[in-house]
Amino acid sequence: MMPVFETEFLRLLRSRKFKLLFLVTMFPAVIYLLNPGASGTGVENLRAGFEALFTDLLPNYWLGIIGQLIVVIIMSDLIAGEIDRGTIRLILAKPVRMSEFLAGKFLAGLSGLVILFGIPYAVIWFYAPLPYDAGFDGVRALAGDFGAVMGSTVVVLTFLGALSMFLAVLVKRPLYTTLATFGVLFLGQFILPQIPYIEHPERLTLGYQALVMLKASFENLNVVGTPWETALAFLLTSVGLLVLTWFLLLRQEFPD
Amino acid sequence: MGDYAIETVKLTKFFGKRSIVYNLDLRVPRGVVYGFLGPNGAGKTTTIKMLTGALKPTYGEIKIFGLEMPRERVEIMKKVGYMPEKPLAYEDMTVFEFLTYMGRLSGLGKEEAKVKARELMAYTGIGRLAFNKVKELSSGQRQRLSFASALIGDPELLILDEPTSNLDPIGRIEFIGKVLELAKAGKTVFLSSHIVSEIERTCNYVGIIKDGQMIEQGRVKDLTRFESNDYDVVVSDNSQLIEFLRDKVYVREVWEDEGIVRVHLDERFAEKFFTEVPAFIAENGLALKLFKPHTSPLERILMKRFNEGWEG
Repeated sequence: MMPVFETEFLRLLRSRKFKLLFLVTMFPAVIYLLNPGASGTGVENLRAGFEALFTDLLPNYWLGIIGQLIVVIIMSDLIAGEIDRGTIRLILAKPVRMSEFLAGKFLAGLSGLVILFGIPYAVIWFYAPLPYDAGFDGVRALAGDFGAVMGSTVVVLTFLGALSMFLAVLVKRPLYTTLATFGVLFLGQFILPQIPYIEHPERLTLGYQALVMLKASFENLNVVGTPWETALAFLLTSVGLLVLTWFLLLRQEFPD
Repeated sequence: MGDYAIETVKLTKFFGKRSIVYNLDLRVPRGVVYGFLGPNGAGKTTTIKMLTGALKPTYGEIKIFGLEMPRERVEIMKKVGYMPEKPLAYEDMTVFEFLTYMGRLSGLGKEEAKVKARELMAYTGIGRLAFNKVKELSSGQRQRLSFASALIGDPELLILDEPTSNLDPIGRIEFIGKVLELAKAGKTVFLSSHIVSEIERTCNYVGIIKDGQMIEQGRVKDLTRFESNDYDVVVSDNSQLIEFLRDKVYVREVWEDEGIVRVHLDERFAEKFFTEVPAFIAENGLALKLFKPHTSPLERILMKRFNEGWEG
């Protein structure tokens, strides 16, 4: 698994696509640096401000439509690109198990995404104490919230990545996989919940569920759900999707 | 089954209702250079894709070194190097990175893979391109890279699909030399091609495939032993030679074509041709400039079985 992981991770970091998408994920952090909008000083105010910022940006930007599209663009190409360009035949002709190949690809993509999303989060974490005049105590006070934000993001990224890879094996073309995955996500979050007998359709978005997971550390979040159960449900679904992807890969043929 | 490097039993592949490979029994002994010969569309590449796990047989068995494909693919691929018909590589990687990656996938350690990559770049003549991106390479250079990638795990069996299709004439000659070197080193080489001369110069075993079915298989020398032939001869005075040959029992027909004396032999008495003609040339003080079969024996076997659609 390690050669696939290392190589794919470095390829991803060096790619133009990654650099461009990094600018997109960094955008809110840059705006925050320019205009932190601190309301008061001290650790209490800092935490309230940090939590308010992420309660707004996480579901509406980073894990909203824009963020989801970024994940899908990156993860769709990892397997579909190999199938589309035929390079998967090189992998098959080497003593590499399909499970190692899949795990290496998935973890490489996920690690790239963690960097893509983690850097802007970390920038805000380390910068926020300055305008609130909270110093190093402020950095320490935000560690739990930062952990919750990262944790909830990684859980959602894992799910999105697994869904993209699953559809990649079915669709086999990177662009079509991106469109198909995005279509499924859009349908699942915004169209199907509009069926009249579904109560609280607003809860069926990834952004909302990310907020539920933030409850593990954030205070005063008005969302319904248990953080650990939500995380577990996402992770189990992701594992299920990856197992299905592996199963399909074993049964696939690669004529071109 | 373990005596063969590759053995297939009734290997068949259907795409829809159309059979591309049908009941193919391939037997490649260990340590030979096996030419897999057939015209375009005969099923060579489909067979190779089944041998390397990219396609699954509709039915039939594949054993490589006695291991079952695709069930034991990982174990098999520790011993196999594969060079696809269309060179495949990651366009955004450099030549060195790509080979190192392929080395690591073949089970080499990080440093070992780097050393082997350098060695093979030099061996295949792409050393100066080490830091060029794959997308910057010409088709011939890609083919060399693909060959290096097939060799990187030091495989016992090399499966080469149309390996010289993008090489220039010098590249082809070099390539054939390298295949012969590998054969001397004890490797088994399975080489698919539609170029008869290439197979003849390289291989000691041959399998001929037509419409997905094996029509001839065995040692080249066994298959060509009983083939009669036309001979081309050029001496300093062709007319004297023609006059000499005209009433010989072993000559069915003799004529001159663009300065070359072409002799159609009667195979029952062909031995006499090889003793009497050299003697005649020596006795009459003629200079011998050319003495060779008009067509290669293998080519003539093929011509018998294929009426059209043959290249090479």
